[in-house]
Amino acid sequence: MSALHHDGGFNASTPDERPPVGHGPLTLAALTIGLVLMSLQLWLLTVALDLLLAGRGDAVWQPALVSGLIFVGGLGMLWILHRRPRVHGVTVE
Amino acid sequence: MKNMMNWSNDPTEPGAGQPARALPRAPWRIEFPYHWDADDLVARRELLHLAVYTSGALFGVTAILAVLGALRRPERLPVVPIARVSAVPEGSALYFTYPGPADQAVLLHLPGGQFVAYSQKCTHLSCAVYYQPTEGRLYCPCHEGVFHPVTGDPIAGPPRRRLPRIVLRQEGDQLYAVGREA
Repeated sequence: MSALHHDGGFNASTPDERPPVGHGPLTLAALTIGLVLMSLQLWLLTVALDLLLAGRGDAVWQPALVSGLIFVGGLGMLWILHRRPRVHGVTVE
Repeated sequence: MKNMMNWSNDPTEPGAGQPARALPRAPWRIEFPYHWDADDLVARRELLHLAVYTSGALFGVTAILAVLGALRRPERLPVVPIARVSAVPEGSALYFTYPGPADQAVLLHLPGGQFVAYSQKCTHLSCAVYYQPTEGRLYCPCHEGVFHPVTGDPIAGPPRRRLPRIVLRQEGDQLYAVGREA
């Protein structure tokens, strides 16, 4: 847990966790792409509902498959990030 | 994770006991005194976790719809006599119910002699659609939805799905409704 004061400084007595250098933007990029793909999943959900209501229930597996691939991709991204642990004890006064 | 930021010099505010440097107080901070010390700091990784959980939920709902679609069996509908061909002049419509007494439908005798029938329920918000022979269209007065009389496809207004089509069979002078297509 970080103790960030109003002036942006970290308390040296508090253990700190932060991503290794360069990995912060990587996480931010993953988050941004993930949010875009999540909006795509929301659209796929509306497509699936529309197909079901139109009586074409046999075609709903296609948006479900794409949505599942996006979810698996998100899980993979989490797995990759867990392989890059945060750096402990880095403090800035 | 608690953020221990303190933007205020007010000793009565929570977190005022923390060692903090005095900052000039902007007018908006006075008008909107926000307790930064009581705020939660969400890391990017935590937000990414939340996004993946939400992604899983969206996939779950879509998968449920796929299962429901796969389990849906084709409905067996009765064969019901609708009307005699001679009773529906060309360019006119006949309103009937099919397959149940509450399922309103419309039979059209199109110019050229073709018979088509559709569910009368608008695919937007289930209002009743009516045939307008002078305009050559099926019209929903609720939100001005328009359907093509030959295909049942939506051609104007908010509807996005075509009208369910009722399958007809002609035996001599008699028209029968024998099924329904989505």
